[in-house]
Amino acid sequence: MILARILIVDDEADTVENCTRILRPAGYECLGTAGARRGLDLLESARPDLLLTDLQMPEIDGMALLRRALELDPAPCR
Amino acid sequence: MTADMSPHKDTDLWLAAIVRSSDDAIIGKTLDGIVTAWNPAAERIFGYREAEMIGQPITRIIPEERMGEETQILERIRQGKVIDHLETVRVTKGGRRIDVLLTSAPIKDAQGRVIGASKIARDITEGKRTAASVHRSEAQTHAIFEAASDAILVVDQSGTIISANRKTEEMFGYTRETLWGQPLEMLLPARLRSRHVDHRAGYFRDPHSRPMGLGLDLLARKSDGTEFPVEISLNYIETEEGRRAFAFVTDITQRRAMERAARQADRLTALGRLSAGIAHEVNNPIGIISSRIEIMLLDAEAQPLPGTVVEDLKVLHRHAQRVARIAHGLLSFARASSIERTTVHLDQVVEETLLLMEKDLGKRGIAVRRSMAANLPPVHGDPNALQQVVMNLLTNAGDALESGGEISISLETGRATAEEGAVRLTVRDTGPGIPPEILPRIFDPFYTTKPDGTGLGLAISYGIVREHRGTIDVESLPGKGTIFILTFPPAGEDAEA
Repeated sequence: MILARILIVDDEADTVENCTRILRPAGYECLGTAGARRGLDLLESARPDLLLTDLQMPEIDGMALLRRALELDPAPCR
Repeated sequence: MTADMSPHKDTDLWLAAIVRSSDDAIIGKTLDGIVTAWNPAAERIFGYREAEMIGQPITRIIPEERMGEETQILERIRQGKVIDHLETVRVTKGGRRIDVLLTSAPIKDAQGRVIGASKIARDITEGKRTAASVHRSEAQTHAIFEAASDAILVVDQSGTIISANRKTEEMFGYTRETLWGQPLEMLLPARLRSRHVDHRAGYFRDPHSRPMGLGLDLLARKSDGTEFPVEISLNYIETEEGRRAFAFVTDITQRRAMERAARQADRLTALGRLSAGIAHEVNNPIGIISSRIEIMLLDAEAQPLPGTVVEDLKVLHRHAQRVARIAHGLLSFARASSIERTTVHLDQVVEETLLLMEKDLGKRGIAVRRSMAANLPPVHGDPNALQQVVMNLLTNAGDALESGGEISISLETGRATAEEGAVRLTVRDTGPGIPPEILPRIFDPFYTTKPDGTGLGLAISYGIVREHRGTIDVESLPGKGTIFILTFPPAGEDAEA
């Protein structure tokens, strides 16, 4: 059973893999990318339950990803 | 000489001419003080015409309070004595008082009896005024000499001190009476004296004004043997008694300390930037290494690995953690991460830190004494960062007291601190002290004397204190212990900045 879908974004691919290797055995579905722009696409297409992101990244920073996530699903703020 | 010319008559003419042309007043008077002769200079000096004075008493030009003087003069004249260069005061016709120099001699008749007195008076008012102004100017020069912020010493060609100002006493700790007549070299450290004698002799052979700031490291010595850095400016004058050299001595201890502190701050700032750069670059990879090892160890629980491999992974993990701690410490030292800002009561910070540490210190035979002033003003800053500073200082003090001892921690404010309203934190231990040769390096990152130390504790503390616009100083005497003194500006002041 999958507990939740988690999107992991970090410009360091090894960090993405570390997180995935810890979370996947714990029962989470993990989507990961080292590209922030690709992360934005995944955010919109895969609609994860949780976004785990680095803040300082080239292309797009983590805060922009978080803002977009809130636009797509304002629920956590209510 | 022609025979028909009476030498007597000739002499009279000559004398009359001399009397008329004299710049000095020449006056004749009887033994009763009645004027019998009054030359043009007397008219000029005293303002009375000849016709006004002949037959009149000389007392007309004598001020009331000096009448007795005239009686005495006439008395001496009667006895055939001369009054030579008497400095006194007379009054002019206009009532102006003038200073005069009097010479009075008896006039005798053919039989040698005294029948009157000649009196030569010179107006010395101008001269006196000049003398007074010279005196005033000397007094001014002396006042400047005494008030100078430099020590000023005057020495003769043999290097003997012939004059010294008040600042010299203060700077060197000798009274002037002790210095007078002593060789200048007594104000130097003994090892430099013989060389200085040569310098001095050379200076007197070829004297010149030498400005300050030759970039030489000059040292002077106080009466108690303390040495201190000085700057010296030399000058000279020629006097009747020979060449004199002036030395203007500035104590530059304070300036040197400030330069040192500025250099230290610059160096640590540069080190901070470098460290932060390195730490930042190291931080991510070491995080990845660390967690990957953790993942491997977790995986090993499901799919067992050979025991030696698991042990190796644990060693790798331990050291990766250590690298991570160092990187984190470096970032704290450089304060690349922003610190929290709030109102902090340092006494609370100290109490909370002691709560964490006192028990352990007690177990090691270390007593902690605290002394906290009441009504300490709060400071502006990060309580966690400040607690880290206190913890570092207490840890170091504890480590210095291997075989037991005492740590005193105190907080003061007000007059106890140099800066108005600042809070001063001191941590003192009774340990072996820090050797003077390593004292300048203790705030350097990675400098440590502990076998397992990272050399970051004091570097981080320095960074945090600086970030709080505070100061951190250390005093240590080998065998006596060490004291760290920190000051922080009060919260109000900081908020304005």
